[in-house]
This record gives sequence, C-alpha cells and structure tokens, in this order.
Amino acid sequence: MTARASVLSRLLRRLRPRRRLRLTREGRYFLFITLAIGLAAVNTGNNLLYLLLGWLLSVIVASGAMSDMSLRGLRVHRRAPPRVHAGRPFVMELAVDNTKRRLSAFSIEVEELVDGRPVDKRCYFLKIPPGTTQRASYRHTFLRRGLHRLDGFRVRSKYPFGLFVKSRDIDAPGELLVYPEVRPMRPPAPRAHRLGETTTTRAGRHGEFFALREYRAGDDRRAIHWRSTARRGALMVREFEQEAQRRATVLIDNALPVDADDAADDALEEAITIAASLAAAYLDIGYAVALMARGAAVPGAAGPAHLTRVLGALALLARATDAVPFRGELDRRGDSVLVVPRGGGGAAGAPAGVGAVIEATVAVAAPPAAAAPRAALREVG
Amino acid sequence: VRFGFALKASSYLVVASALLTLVLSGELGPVQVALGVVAAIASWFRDRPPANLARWVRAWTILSVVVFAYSVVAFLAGTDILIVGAHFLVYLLVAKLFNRRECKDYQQIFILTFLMLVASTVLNASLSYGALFLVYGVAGTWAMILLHLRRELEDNLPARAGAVAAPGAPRPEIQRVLDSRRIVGPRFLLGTSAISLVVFVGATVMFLAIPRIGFGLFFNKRRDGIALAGFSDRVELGGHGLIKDDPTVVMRVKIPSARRAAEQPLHWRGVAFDGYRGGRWFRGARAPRTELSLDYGGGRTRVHLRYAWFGELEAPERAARLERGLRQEIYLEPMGNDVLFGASLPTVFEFDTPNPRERAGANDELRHPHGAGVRYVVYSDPDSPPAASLRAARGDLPPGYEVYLDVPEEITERVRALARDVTRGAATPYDRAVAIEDHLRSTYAYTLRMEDPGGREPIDAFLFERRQGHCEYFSSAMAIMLRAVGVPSRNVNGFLGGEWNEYGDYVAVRSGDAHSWVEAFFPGVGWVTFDPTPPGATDRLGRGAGLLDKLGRFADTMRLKWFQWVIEYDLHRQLSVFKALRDTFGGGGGTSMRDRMAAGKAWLARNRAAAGGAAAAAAALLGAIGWWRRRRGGGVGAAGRAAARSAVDAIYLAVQSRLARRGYPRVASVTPREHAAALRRAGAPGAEPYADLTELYYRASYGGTSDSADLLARARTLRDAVLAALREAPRRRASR
Repeated sequence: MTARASVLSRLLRRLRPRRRLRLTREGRYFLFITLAIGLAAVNTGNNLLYLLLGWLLSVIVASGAMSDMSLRGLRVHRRAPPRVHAGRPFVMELAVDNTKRRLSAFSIEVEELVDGRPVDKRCYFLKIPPGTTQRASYRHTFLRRGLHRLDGFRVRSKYPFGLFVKSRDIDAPGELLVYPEVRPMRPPAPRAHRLGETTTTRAGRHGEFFALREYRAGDDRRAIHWRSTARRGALMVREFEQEAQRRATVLIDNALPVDADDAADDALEEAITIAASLAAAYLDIGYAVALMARGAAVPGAAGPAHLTRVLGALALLARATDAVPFRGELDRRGDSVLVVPRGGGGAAGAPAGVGAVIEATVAVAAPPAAAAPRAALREVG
Repeated sequence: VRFGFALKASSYLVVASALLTLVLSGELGPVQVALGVVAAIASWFRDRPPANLARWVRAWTILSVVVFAYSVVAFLAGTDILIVGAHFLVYLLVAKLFNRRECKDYQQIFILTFLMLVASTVLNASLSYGALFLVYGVAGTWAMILLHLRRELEDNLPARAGAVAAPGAPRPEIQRVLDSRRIVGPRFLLGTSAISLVVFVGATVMFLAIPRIGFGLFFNKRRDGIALAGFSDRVELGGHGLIKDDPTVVMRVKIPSARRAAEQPLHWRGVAFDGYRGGRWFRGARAPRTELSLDYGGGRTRVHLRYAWFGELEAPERAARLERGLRQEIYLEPMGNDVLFGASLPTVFEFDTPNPRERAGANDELRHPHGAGVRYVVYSDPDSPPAASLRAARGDLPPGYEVYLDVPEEITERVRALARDVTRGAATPYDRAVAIEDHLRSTYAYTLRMEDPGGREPIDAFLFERRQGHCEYFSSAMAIMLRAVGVPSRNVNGFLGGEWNEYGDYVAVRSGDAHSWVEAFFPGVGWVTFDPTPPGATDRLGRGAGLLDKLGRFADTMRLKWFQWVIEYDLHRQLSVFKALRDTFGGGGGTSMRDRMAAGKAWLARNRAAAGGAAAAAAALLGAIGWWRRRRGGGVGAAGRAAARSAVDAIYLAVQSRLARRGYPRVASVTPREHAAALRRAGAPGAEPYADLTELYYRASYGGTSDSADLLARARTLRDAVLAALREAPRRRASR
C-alpha cells in the first residue's frame, strides 16, 4: 500500500510541470494595459497603437525567454546542521552554483521543498556571476519530530521585469531526521533518595573506565587524568561506567487507542519531548540512559554520542497499540521513569517496578499559542 | 556606473523620450511645453523631498487642484479633450518626478510616460515618434530591469536592526547597494541593449503580423491637417511681399522610372476654377460637375472620372485607358483640405478602402476627406494629344461648358485687344492657345516679389504695367485671354515637377512646388494643359548634389518609409508581405486568401455594431468568470491560490492580503511568524489574533496535521477577529 503510494507520488512528481509561470501584480497591470492597447488598436486602426501593442507583446515574450535563461544551469546544494530539534529554529546553508559559461543569473530566489511544499523562508541572490557559487542560509523550524523528506528546491525568478514569477523545481532528494524537542529539565529525585539511602549526586569513582571528558565543576579531583590534561592543555577527567544507582531507564508509553483524536496525538508528542528531555538531563549529569518503548528500545549507555542514539530512536518512535509490548528489560536497580501521554495511571503492560511516572497532557483550549504543555509528575512508591 | 545613478538616468531618458513625442507633435501649448520641460529638468536635481514634508505635500496638493481646475476650464472653453489630457499628463509627470522616492513612484512614472506615448499616437504621427519610440524602448528596458532589481532588493534584503534611515531616504543597506558600482557595468548595459534590440525585432514582427481587421467602432482617425503656404484651394491675385520657398514635402509619388527619364515635369493637378471676378478665381454655382462611376474588387475601390466629352465608356475601353495610363502611387500629407492630386489629366483613382468617401467637385476635381494623410493610386493621361488632332478638333461644347467662355466685364478692352492681336493669324483654337502661351512666356518676366496693383484690374496691371509676376498672373492672364478669343479655359492649381529621390525611387513634391496653369478645352478631344509661365522660373527639378541635399533626401525617404510601413500599413500591405514571404519560402496557391480577408473586412465594416457587441459580450463574460473565480477563492490573490493547500492556508493568506491592503504587507524576506511578531510590536490592529492565526497556519502547513474541523473553526474565528479589529482601526496610509 505505502510502496504503491510512493510510486504514485513519484510518478505524479514526474508529471508535474518543471517550470511554472505566475503573474505578479505588476504583470497583471501590464497584461491589462496590453489588452487595452490591443482593443484600442483594433478599434481605431491606428498603426502606432499596433506598434505599441507589438512592443508590449514582445516585452512579454522576451521576459519569458530571459527568465528561462536566468534559471537555467543553476545547481543547489544544502548543508544541514548536525542536529535539528522540533520546535527549535535551525539554520540551513544553501549554495547555488551558476554553471552557465557566460550569463549571470540575476534575482534568484531559492526555497527548500519539504514534504512537497516550500518552507516559510527563502534565500535571495541578487546576482550570481557565471561559473561561481554563492551561499545563503535560511532559518526554519520543524514543528514535528521524525524523518522529513527534502524533495529539492524551488528556484524562482522575477527577472527581468518583475512581470512574471517563473519557478523551476530542482530535484535534490534528501532526508532530515528531526529530533524531538529537548527542554531543560530536572530528572526526578534518584531512587536511592526515596529508599532512604544517601548517595552523592556526583559521579562516583568506582566501576569500569568509560571515557575521558573535560573537567566540570564538582568533579572529583582524584579522577583527573593528568597525562591527557598535559596533552590537551585542559583539565580532563576519567569517567567510569556508572554503578547501579547511576543508571536510568526512560520508558515511554507510545500506545494510543485507534480512535485517538488530535489532542491525544499531541499528548504523545509531548510525552516524547519529555522523554527526550529526561534522557538528555540524565546523560548530562553522567547517567547511563536506556530507553524502552513499545516496539523500540535503546540499551543503556552514557556520553554525548549516546544522546544522538536515544534522540534518533525517539524521533522515529511510531504510535503503537496496547497489544505491542515494551521492548527490552527494565533494570530495576537503577532509576526509571515512565512517561505516559495521558492520565489514567500506569500504562497497561508497562514493566513493573518503574520508579516514577510522568503524565504528559496538552491543554487544547484556544488560543493555540497558549497551548502550554503540562507535565505532571506523580511519584509512585 | 552606480546602480542608483543608472536607474535615475535611464528613467529620465524614458521621461525625455516620452515628453518629446508630445512636444514634437506641436499640438501642445508653447507655455505649457516650456513649463513642463523646465520643471522636468529641474526635478533631476531634487532627489529627496525637503525636510518639511508636510508643507511640501500640501504645496503639491494645492498645485494639483489648481492645475486640475485649469484643465476643466480649458476643456469647457473648447480645447480639445486630448490636448487638455496631454497637458494634464505633463503636469502629473512633473509632480511625480519631484516626488520620486520609492519603487512605486518610478512605476507610476513609467505608466505616465506610457500614457504620453499612447496620446502621441494620435497627436504625433511623424517620423520623430518612431525615433523617440526607439529611444523609449531601449531606455525603458534598462529602467525596467534596474527598477525590478531595486524592488527585489527592498523586498529581500533583511532589515538590519538598529540601522536608521534619514526621512525620505532608502534604508542604509539598500543605499549601500544603490551606491554600488559592481552591479551595472558595461557588460550589463550591453546585455540589456541586446535585449531591447531583440524586443524591437519581436515588436516589428508582431507589428507586421497582427491582423489589421480594425473596424473603427468608437473612434475615427483624427489628425488635423496643417494649412500649407504653397498650395491653396483658391487663387487671389494681388497681395504684397515675397513668396518664400517652402521645402516641406507635401506629396510623394512613385512613378515608373521610364517616365522620370522623360525629364518632362509633370503637372500635379489639384483644383480648377471656372469663374473670375475682382482678381479672384472661384468655382461658380453653374460649374459642370464630373460624374463618377465606382467599381469594387479585391477590397479596393476604383473611381472612374466620367469626363463629359467621353460619354459613357464601356468596360473594355475603361480597362484600356487604365492600361495606357501613367500609374502613380501617391502618399499625400495632411494639407488641411480634401483635395486629391494626380498628373494631368487623371482618369482613375484607386483606394484601398471598400467604403468610398470620395466626392466629385466642380471642374473635374476629386475630393476625399482625410485627416491623416492618404495613400492612393492614380492613372492619368499626362501627354497632350497630337497637335494634328487638336487642330482638327471641332464640335459642340458639352452642356454647361459655356461658363468656361465667360469673360467678366471688368476685363479691360486692351486685354481683350491684346488677345486678339496675339492670335491674329492663328486658324484653329489650338493655334490660338499656343500663340497666347508663347507670347506670355516670351514677353513677361517671372518674379516671386508681389506688388499690390492697388485699385487696378490685376490682369491688366500685369500685362501692361508691371510686366512681371508669379505663376498665378501668367495662368490667369492666359485663361482670360483664351476666353476672349473663344477658347473654353479654366485656371488650375496644383504642383509642378518635384525632386527625384534616388534612395526611395520617388518624386518628392514640396510645398514650394505649388503652381498655377491653364487647361483649354477642345471639343471631341478634351482638356489640354498649357503652362504660360516662363520655363526657367519653374524649373525646380534640379537636384542638389551636396551632402546636405543628399541627407535631406535620405531623411525624406525615411519619412516616406515610416508613412508607408507604419502609419499606412494595412491589410493589403500585410497580405502582400505574407504573399512575398510565402513566395520566398515556397508553397503556392491560395490566391483567394486576399479576397476572403477583404470580404471579411467588408463584412465587419457592414456589421460593425454586431461585431462590437459580440466582442463586448465576450469581454464581459470573461470579466464575470474572473470575478466569480476570485469570489470563490475568498479574496485570495493569485499567489495565494497557487500556494493554498488547505482551508487554513487560504484563510491565513486572505487575512494577510487584507493586512497588506491596510498598510501592513509582509515582504518576502520576513517569515509569517516574524511578520506577526513585528505587527504585535508595532501595535497594529488585530495583531494578537493574527499571531494566533499565524501559529495555526504553521501547524496546518508544516505541522503535518491535516485540517480538522476544529482547527478550521478556530482559524475562522481568528480571521473574523482580525478583520473586525481592522474595520474599527483608523486607516493608515499604505507604505513600505
């Protein structure tokens, strides 16, 4: 079904005209004047009016030919930033090559086509001399996480007279994985707290060596790795594989009923955002973080590279049903947080022994700009 | 060249060429022209309005009201609406030139200049229009491209925070580009010139190709003729002063080159008079009128002059006369009268119009009302019949021809006696005519200096006292003397000879070639031309070989080409062009095409009202469809329609265009969200609901959610909130 749909959409894209022409406001006036002169010429038989008419028509034709020449031979490349989060603006760099040998391209606008439509900001190039490349960048914000399809670019020009907008679509298929939004967040109090044990919140010195990282205020001075500090010129400390209490599992219940409405969908998105924020917060303070969801899991690990893995999994997390079980084994010795998209207690089928439950809900009352996500933390004994 | 300067200079070139087309028409008032030109030049030095903007604007408002009132008064006083309109256009242009700041002002300047060009199509049909149009085209292409680039800059260069522009000046970052020399270089000018050349070639092709099926629904051609000094529709002897030679070309005649080789100057006959009274020639009420017979075919009309002595000619005889006759293709400039000229004596006139407006005048004149110059073909019999047949001529005068024998009483006895003396010994009327012609030619002197004869009879004074005069004296004297000896005669006015133009292969007849001569009637043979003016005086065929003469002839050729190929270009010429093309590029047959087109044109001419009504109905239908589609689109412009994917999109775009109309447009470099934020900062009416609507738009467009009924309902509520706020807020002048 989906395969056939994608073939169909590709076919449709093939059939779509490569070039489009649209009148601008000035163009509409121009056309109106041309029509009026034409009418007057036919009516009066005044040859000078025919001369004007011929000129006006010729300007229209020349305008079409010139904008065509201006748009021809342009190549566009993009360079995406390393990480793009939903709801956060990012800057995409575009480079336009004018591969024509002699002619400059004037007045070029380039728009990125995402999921078949242009993004809200375009890049403008006044003049691209032949054989050169010019760069510009646009800011854009994806509202939703996930894999976004970059179809290519729409190159447009109103050159030479601003009467018509001619646009040409350049295919440059690509994909952009948009991670869920990550907000600054404090993870729930560690399990040890709740159990009455006292532990330090700092990374311990025990366990197996994990990695070297830069010194942060509060680190144990005994963990400084002097040899690499001398080499790098900055204080480096050893990180250790965390012990049981330094491990956290973020669980997210991505089950939604089949007849879920938009609000429920939004709540799931909010839950994913919270899960991502939690994972980032845990990783930031040195925890090893595992992710568990229905039909998806990321084994526990620590370090910045692991954040990318967790975010990637969350970005692609699909909605499931209650029938799909959580994947992976819950590490009951470490901290664990379950994020559920809506109220109603622990999600059915969630592994037992979860430390804390966070409910994510989204207020849907108008106006939408004020739709503030509300996360309620409920501690479970 | 600095970008800003290039834009200004090319715009002024556009202005200058458009203004000159009007000025050179010579139809505008000299005061208005002088004021307009001086003000336009002065505006060059005034790039920015003064600091006291309010006073400046008020001054212009008052001035505009005054000029408008003046225009209304001038119109009511009977000035032609076109002239009044042209004057007002000049004023508007000057006002705009003094207040040019933004791209919009430049656009309006272009529109005004174009309107001037349109007005000039009626007021100025001379070659100067063509030359200035060429300049307009080239400069216009530059200016339009530069203006477009400037506009794009204003739209797309993001505003830099903290940069403040002087009042009335562009933003600093725009000013930087305007001052840049890197954009407009020689290559740019060369490239755009090439473009305008291509545009011109295209315009020429279109001009030649657009079918000429004009049917004059509402207007007719209107161009006032200029009364020319040389040729006159009347003859009045007397007067005082020196007749000046006027080199203006009034008529161009294409004749077979064999005829040119004959070197015999042709008499281009225009008007003739039968009555003479008090030193003045006139057309009497009893003057015989020529009958015309018309025949149509191939979209042209042939007018056969049925001279009384011919009687009714059969068709073969008509064709034979046509065959024998000298064919002349004549391009007549507007002369302030409707006289048609042709080499003596014309037999057939041919017009390319199916609807004849020709009128036969008295004394075998032909008149054809035309205000804009006319092209026609004449067939004439320029050579006098052999002397033997003239000597043998006898018979009765046709009815009504007695008027040509009328000698008024005021003619003195010694004039009559002189006529008898001169013709003593001449046996036939023809010999008498030759004798009088010889006598006048050999005895009297030609002069361009006129002297008032006072109370004396002018012919008497010429023959016996002054013994010199210009051609009208000679012809008047001969005509009267002929009548005194019983030969029917009349005085004829027209042109003599002309100058051969080697570039265009035609005879250019100038105003100064105006001439007067005599026609004598011989029963059974017809009218024969006699020219009693001494030949040396009238020999104006000599052509100068100097560079200036050559240049003058070349310029005149250009003028003729302009008239032939632009002003008078019509369906027939168009068909001949197509036919020539078809012959060049092969293919054959289809000769009936010309007839079919002509038939179609004739049908249109006959059913003007029906055709006009159908065209108007079609236009109204198109308009209605457009309006309906626009309505259905919820007021979204074409841009919105193309981009709108969902109902929320459409609502958002509609609100955005409404905001733009109220002076809060979103330029391309600003995203919808930034726009909403800016409106909120500016405290624009409806900014709050607009911001919310913008968020909805983002959700619908980029959020991946489909429009739910709920989303749509919210979007509608927000739209209504924005529109309500806009309705309540006071209007703000749209500006950028």
